[in-house]
Amino acid sequence: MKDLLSYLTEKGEKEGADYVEARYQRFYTTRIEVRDGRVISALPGIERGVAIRVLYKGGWGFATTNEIEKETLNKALKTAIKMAKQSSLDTGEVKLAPTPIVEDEVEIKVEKPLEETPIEEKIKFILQADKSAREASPIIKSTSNYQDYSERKIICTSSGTQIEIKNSWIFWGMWAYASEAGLIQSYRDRFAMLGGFEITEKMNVEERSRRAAEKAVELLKAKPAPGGRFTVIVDGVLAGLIAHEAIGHASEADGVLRGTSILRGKLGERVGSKHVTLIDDAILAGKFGMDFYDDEGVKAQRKILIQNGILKGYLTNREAAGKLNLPATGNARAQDYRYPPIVRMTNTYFKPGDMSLEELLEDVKMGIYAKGGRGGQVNPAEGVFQFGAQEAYLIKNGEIAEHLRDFSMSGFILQTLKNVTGVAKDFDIYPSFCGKGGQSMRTTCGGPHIRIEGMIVGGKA
Amino acid sequence: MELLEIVKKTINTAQRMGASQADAIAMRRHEISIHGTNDKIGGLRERRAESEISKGLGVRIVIKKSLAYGYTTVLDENSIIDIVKRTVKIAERKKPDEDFKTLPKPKKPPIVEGIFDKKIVNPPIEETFEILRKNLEETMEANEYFNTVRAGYTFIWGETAIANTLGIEEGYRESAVAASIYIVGEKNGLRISGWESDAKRSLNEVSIDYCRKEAIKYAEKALTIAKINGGEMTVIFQPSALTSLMNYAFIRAIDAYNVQEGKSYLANKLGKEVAAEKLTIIDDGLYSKGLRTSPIDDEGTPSQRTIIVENGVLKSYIYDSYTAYKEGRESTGNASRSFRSSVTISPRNQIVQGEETKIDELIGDVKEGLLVRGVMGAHSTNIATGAFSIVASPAYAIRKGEIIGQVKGCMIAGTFADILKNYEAQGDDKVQKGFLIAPSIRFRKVRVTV
Repeated sequence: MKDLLSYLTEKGEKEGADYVEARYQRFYTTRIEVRDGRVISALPGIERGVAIRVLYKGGWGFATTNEIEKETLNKALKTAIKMAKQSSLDTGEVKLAPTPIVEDEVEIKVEKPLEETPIEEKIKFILQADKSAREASPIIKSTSNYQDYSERKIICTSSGTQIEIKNSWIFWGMWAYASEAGLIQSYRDRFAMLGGFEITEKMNVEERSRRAAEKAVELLKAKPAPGGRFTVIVDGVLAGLIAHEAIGHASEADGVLRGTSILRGKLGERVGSKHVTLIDDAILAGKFGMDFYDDEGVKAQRKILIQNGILKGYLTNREAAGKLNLPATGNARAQDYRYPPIVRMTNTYFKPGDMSLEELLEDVKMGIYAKGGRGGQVNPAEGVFQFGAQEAYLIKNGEIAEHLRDFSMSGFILQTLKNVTGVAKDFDIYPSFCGKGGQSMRTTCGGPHIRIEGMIVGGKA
Repeated sequence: MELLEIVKKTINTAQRMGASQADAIAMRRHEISIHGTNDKIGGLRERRAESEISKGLGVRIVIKKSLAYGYTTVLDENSIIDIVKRTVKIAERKKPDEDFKTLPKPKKPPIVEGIFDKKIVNPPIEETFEILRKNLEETMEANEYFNTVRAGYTFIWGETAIANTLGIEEGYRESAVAASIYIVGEKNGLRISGWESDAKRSLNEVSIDYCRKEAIKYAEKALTIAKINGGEMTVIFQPSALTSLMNYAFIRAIDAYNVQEGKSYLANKLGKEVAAEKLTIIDDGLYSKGLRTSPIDDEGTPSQRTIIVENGVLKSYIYDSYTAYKEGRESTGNASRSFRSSVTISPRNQIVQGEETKIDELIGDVKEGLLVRGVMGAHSTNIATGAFSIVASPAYAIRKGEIIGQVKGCMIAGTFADILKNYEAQGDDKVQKGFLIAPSIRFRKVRVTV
């Protein structure tokens, strides 16, 4: 396959392309969905395909196909070149940031390969977790999901880079629904790691399911959250959502370049309070967002994006780095062979500080303590974000008071970062699939407990 | 048709290997997208074009009452045998599902026209680049405060074939083309954006002019900040905002899986008043040129028109064959599946019907209110209660019947059950946004927090 990819990149170059990148991928995946102890679906699949990306005089062309024969690949190359040429008729200059030429083979250590693990074992694993949720309480219904994925990927570029990556991961997620007297409350949990089927032993999914079920039951007694402006203390998981949604996306250099980021032109400037330090660490071992190399063949690395409130860097691909005169940070990632690499986060988190949760709470007369993430959204161009929490509590005179449900909050990125008045020393990190440009990417986000003033809370009461 | 041969071969193989029933879906898809960005500040002029050709085969095997799925993107004979074998093995080892009755029985599908435009097979790429260039420039020049403009076109065409062991053998072709314009601007430190998109089944119907005009209009209105007081007020949702909200707050509530499991706030409400009397909602898989129109659904059931809400009364949920046969009724043709996934329920074209008011009057009659073009956070809707809490962005203040500027940072909270009941009127600006075909809709007494 390497020879075939090199043939394609060389042929592309001969036909006048400035840069050609060919990426082969074969992956095996299993998805299992269980509802109330019943296997709704157990779906194994195998795919392979090739993506070809061509740069010609500033124009980009991209073609992907899952018909892998020399003839169809030649056709895909031709399409990519044709599209790049047509793009180039009306475009500015593109200078890719330099990156070392690499020949490497890397892999995630795997004891029990996913493809060879019988599907019954996988079904058993998720059924046990699902059962423990319903055993926690008779009023619980549950949905559990399992996905695994093992891939072999080869990246070849016309500069001579040839990298082979073998990767493997497992994702587990569940929802617990508690219902009583017409009211239904839900709580979710998820966990994911890189590795083979052996990591399921470390995932503690039975205990996690039980805890989620208990939480859902507790939420039945919680009151709807109030609306208005509040001081909010968020836990590490929710802090991670802020790190990812509110700031992470705005620090992606493709958006900076295209004018859709609120952080454009702010390098070296203060964008947050002194408590704010934000890191994207692609080499956090075993974590769900980890990479060895990105899909342009740039080595994955740890980047400080904000240090004590000062914006220090952006996440880049080679094109944006070249334009902005910054280093390529290894953040060009593609969901799979069907997509071109775009700038993505990896493991993104706030660095812990030195306060305790009690110290954060102390000064709050009236506020909200919000825990756990329930998804979020952001408009990085205007800097508005929104996210939901799993549960929340009122804070009265420094003490945690009434339990709240249906909590969601909103804010403006720059205001929010400047309103961070305290960061705790604990740390939590949580996996998620991040969506951007139609591509879903494995990431994690996290941080410690954080106190933010003046958040807009949308409630019912 | 080659795909039809593949699915027929697949179900025959399945039967040979011991399946009691089986179905197969094969798809081929061609997508070409072209994007451009002009940026005044960085002097960026970016162009890119992408092409995707993909195909795949999904198979569903039933052994007694156990169901299993499998898929492959490699469609040679050996790979088909391999995936069928593997899927049979899963079905053999799974516990039977007593609620499963049968895969759908064959019924003659209606003839559907207007969903395939052969011009999209070879889209005019050079011409499209030229159209983009013109639109990028014209949009940028429309207002001195505009800094960045993005524009794009996507052309898709594909074919689908479905067969099952009960005798269904169907196939069809379809196409779609979408255009979009996105503007980012800044005035005295205030960052604004504006966008519009348009998607149609055929090339001649899609209008980038419409996208440009709407995007410019709302980006310009965003340059002025307006303040509103929070509280209960009249809110007009534009179709794009309504699509996001309804997807999570309504569609999931009429999904038969959620209803049968008692997870939906609309469970046990058939025949009851759930919405304002003036409101009718129809799920129509046959709507002329609809983006979700096709002769059959993804398990081969003929498409149909299903009344969901009629004059405020809940008339039906949406079903696939599994949930329908479980209740001893017929599928509504809402089975949805890619070759990579198992069957779920999705809406077809959902049409919001009601007496139409001129859009100028719909807005003009509002003394104090909010116009919402987009929402964020609809995915966190609690489907059991219908409770949602979303950010309205972009949103515009209406005062004395005029849009006076954008409102930043406001949230809307409530339950969708209340929203349905507080429906007041709808405009004459009906468009299709995703699954939804609706105009701007005005609701009373919506709770807004600023």
